[in-house]
Amino acid sequence: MARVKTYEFQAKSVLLPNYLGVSLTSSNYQSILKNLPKELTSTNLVLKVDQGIKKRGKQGLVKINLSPSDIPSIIEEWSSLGWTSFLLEPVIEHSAEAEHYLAIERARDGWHVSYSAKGGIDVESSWDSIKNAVLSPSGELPKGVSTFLKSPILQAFITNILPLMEQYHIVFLEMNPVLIRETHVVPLDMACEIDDTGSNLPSIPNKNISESETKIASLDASTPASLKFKLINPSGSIWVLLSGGGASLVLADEVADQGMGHELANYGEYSGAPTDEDVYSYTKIILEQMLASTHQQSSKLKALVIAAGIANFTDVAKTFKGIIRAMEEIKADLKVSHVKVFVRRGGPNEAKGLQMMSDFLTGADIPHIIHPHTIPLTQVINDVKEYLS
Amino acid sequence: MISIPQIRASANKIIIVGEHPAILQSMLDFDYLSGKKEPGIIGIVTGRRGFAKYFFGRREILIPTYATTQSMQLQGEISANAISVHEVNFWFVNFLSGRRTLSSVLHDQALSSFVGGIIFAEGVPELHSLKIIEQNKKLIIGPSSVGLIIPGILKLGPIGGITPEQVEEGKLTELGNVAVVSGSGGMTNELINVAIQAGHRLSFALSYGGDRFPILSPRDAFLLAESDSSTKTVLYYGELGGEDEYELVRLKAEGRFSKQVIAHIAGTVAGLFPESPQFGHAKAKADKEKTTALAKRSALQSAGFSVSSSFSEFIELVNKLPLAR
Repeated sequence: MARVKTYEFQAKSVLLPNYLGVSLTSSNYQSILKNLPKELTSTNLVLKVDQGIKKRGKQGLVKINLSPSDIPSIIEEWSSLGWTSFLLEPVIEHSAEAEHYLAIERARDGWHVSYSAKGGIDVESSWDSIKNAVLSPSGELPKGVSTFLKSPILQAFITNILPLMEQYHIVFLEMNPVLIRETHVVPLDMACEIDDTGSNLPSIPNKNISESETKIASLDASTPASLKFKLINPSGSIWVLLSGGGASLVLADEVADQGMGHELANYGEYSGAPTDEDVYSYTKIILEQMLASTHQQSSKLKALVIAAGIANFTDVAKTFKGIIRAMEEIKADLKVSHVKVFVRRGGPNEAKGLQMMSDFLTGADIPHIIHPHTIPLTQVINDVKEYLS
Repeated sequence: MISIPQIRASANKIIIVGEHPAILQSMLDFDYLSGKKEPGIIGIVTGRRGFAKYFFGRREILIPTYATTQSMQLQGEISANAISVHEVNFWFVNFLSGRRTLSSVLHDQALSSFVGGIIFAEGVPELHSLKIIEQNKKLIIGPSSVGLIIPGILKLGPIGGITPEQVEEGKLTELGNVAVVSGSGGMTNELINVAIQAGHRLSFALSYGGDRFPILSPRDAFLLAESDSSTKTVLYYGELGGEDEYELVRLKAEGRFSKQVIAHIAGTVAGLFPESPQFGHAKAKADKEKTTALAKRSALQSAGFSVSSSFSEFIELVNKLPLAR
């Protein structure tokens, strides 16, 4: 439900007429190389990692002047480093001076276009050469302004590409380098962000994410509710089970603001009226991750923060039911692992939810502090600080 | 766009598009607790013609349901209530899913006589919000908004809570002079709570939503506060990501906004990550330096707003705010 990166291959396929590139993965490249289109077998090739990463060239993840027989060993090497998606294209000969920079982003007032005649791998060293213009939402040029957009070739390219960006919900496009030829514009490298609420183009999964993050991402994809989880520091002392986009941010900020950022093990939030089953599964994955790292440092104190703002319509008792069910299954482990639980929540059915939580934690003999909505949101982080110091 | 005083000065009638019984009941409870003789909700577009049972106080009431907004007889509803059409503001509360929002809001001619409404759904495509922004001048709040509340007058959406206890505890029927403007639904309620616990009452509160392009922008919300003589102070909650706060800075620099503001911008925790992650709300990602929480805090501070460096400090600043006499 936000802006995410999509593959260069996907972006070029929908935006550029007669695009010749081919997408390969670690697992399918052999069969694809056997059936390469004619245009790719008879020319120099460029191979790049296609996973939305910045400064690809500087990291050695772009190789040029290849023939098809060079490809397998490079893919093997990159695959051993964890890369999985690649893009194969014909090399387009050009001089370094011909490399321009062009970016288009959708903003509230229209399309923001940035351009520099000095593009290429070192564009950042000539950042001040970048010129900007704002086009109206329907793509009209600003009136009477003498800009880089005077170039009829560039203008035609932008006029043609904006409707396609709208159609595919592409909200950001960076082309660097891009060649501006006599009759047409040729983007060589392209970075692309889509709005995943509207676009059917695929998003790029993050590289090297933990097993627990993968599990929660698939859980998130299976429910209309929102379930987010990021592992920051598995050996940290502070584990959080937070609800709501805003309050989760405020609480995580408070951990960092109070000088405990290095102890923050994870960030995450559940929201959008999840079922108690959703909350149960979500909690279970996080608690398992917490215990896995706790086992490695059995003497270290752990704080589990179950907190959120004051719900407008989310039923506190219902969501707490799911959390308690997950904790119930591992209550013995929680007890021996020096976990103290810090709770703060408000909203519909608050009293019942907090009472259920208190009864459970008391019964399981797990130390805890429970705050209702009348205690300020961030007090719970002060309590954590006191506990850990 | 209608102003807050204009909303207070007229009768307000609400059409619900979609279904969310607990939230509807809370809007009826609000009207009842505010001492209104009749509920503000006059119809629910459910796709079926008939009636839905709700409570107004202890009295059971039947609210008509409609197949489409076109099939509603607004004139009929109004004459039944014996009120002149000119004195009534019509509002919608849209509970439909994100992808159905554009067509249900923009292409529905029946809504053209409405003064505005709220869009509850998350996941409305950015380009759809932008189309609504380009083509409308109504007071439309959202997407992903928990709503608008004007104490004693109007409650659109779950804002302020859905149980009668929440309405009573939030003093949501008593007019005050503190406005709450927040990008997060949960934090809207949290800010209301901070203000009420400090002894204040609300002039109005709204959640403009966590999307990249809120239809009612923070700037629009500040202009609503400026033109409302009841509002003395605005409590503002924003997050990292997007550039909406720079519009607030501009508004102040242009001399178009004069009221006191206490602002908190969340998202400094992004500094713990090598690259700003995507947080809970769609807009909550700082892809450039200018859109980090710290950059926006310092810009707002330079413009002359009170800006807290932590949420604890925000609470302290609100607690120090003098109470209205």
